[in-house]
Amino acid sequence: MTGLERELVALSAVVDWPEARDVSVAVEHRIGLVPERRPSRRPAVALGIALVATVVAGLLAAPGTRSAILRFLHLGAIEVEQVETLPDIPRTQSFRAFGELIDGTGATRLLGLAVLPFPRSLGRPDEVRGRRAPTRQVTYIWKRPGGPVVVTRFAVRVDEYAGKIVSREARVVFVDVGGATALWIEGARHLALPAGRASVEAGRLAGDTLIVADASGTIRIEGLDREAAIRLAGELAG
Amino acid sequence: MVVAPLDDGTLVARALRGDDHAYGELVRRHQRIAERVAYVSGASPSELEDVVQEAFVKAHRALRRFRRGAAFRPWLLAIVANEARNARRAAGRREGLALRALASTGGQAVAEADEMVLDGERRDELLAALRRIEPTAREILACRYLLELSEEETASALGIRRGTVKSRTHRALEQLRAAIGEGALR
Repeated sequence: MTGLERELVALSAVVDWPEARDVSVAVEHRIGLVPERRPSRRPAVALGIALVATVVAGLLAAPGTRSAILRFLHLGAIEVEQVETLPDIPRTQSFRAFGELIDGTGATRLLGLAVLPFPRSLGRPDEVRGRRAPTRQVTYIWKRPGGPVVVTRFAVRVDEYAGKIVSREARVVFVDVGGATALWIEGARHLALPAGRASVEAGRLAGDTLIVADASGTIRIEGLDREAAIRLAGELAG
Repeated sequence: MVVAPLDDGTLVARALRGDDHAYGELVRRHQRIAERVAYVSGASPSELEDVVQEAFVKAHRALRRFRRGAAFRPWLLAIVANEARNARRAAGRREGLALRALASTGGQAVAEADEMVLDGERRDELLAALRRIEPTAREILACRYLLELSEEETASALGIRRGTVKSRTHRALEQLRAAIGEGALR
């Protein structure tokens, strides 16, 4: 490369490139990707899309409520929103955020599908908690000195979404976990919301997280590093 | 187990199999370069969002015609550039690419790869020279150096053959050198 060519490459950094707003959500809506819907519930689909669009518009129009949305990702039962800064809302780290204490039978009844086996590597969880609303979910909690390991299984339904709000400092990447699509969030603590965009009143502070979605549902693993989380996901998938 | 961000080919294959999330990731991954190619190809700043959005939707519809094993980005950029040219024609605009310096650069530009530094005077000299050369020469230099597109991507974006990219780039650089010389004499 000649000196002039190198100068042109350097020039790129100071060119005032006009930028458009993020089009990914609009594209996903137009091609029918967001949110996932069952064909038999089309009226609910239209309503849901309109609701999401309204909420997004409302949030964007209210900078005091939430800073600008940089990315919006959607995987299985989890919506992930990346923003400039986390919203200033009440935060909790209580296990009660995962619902009531239940037993295995209650978990099956609650989720409406086979619950996850207890992973051999971690053994029986210290707590099993479950919740029907706003999302049907069963959570296994292992209390450890360095921080808890938390595994949540979500049942995916048209109107059930949990959410995560991550700041610009967090890294969010799509990864492959044994052939299933997964999202890995790392680098900065984020807010886990019980009901996606619809819920911004309070959130639970969470650390690095792996979200795996396949045909049978969505699994969220918190409290492990990436390699360990992926190993555990593989173990849970059998 | 191998853990890495999925490459474009894998995401395209998954999108074709009906994986809802794969195409969304492709959009997020390429929308910034798509905007810039749209701008270089004739979209105005106010049209960028519509042009890029429309291009991604059209690319999704055409995904089944995408040649398996081919690179996704050149194929996408061809659709983006075509959409931008259509927008320019529809608006009846004839003016070429306008390149301006950012207001807050502090007068210096740095290329990450080799730490080339341009002072404010040289930056202005280059921008002025770029404005004086032919529009086709400006477009190809923008694609190859400012956007750092490959020859294949540049060929796709400009709708020309790869061999033409080489020859046109060579001529454009000669034009630019001449324009810089003219500027120095003024």
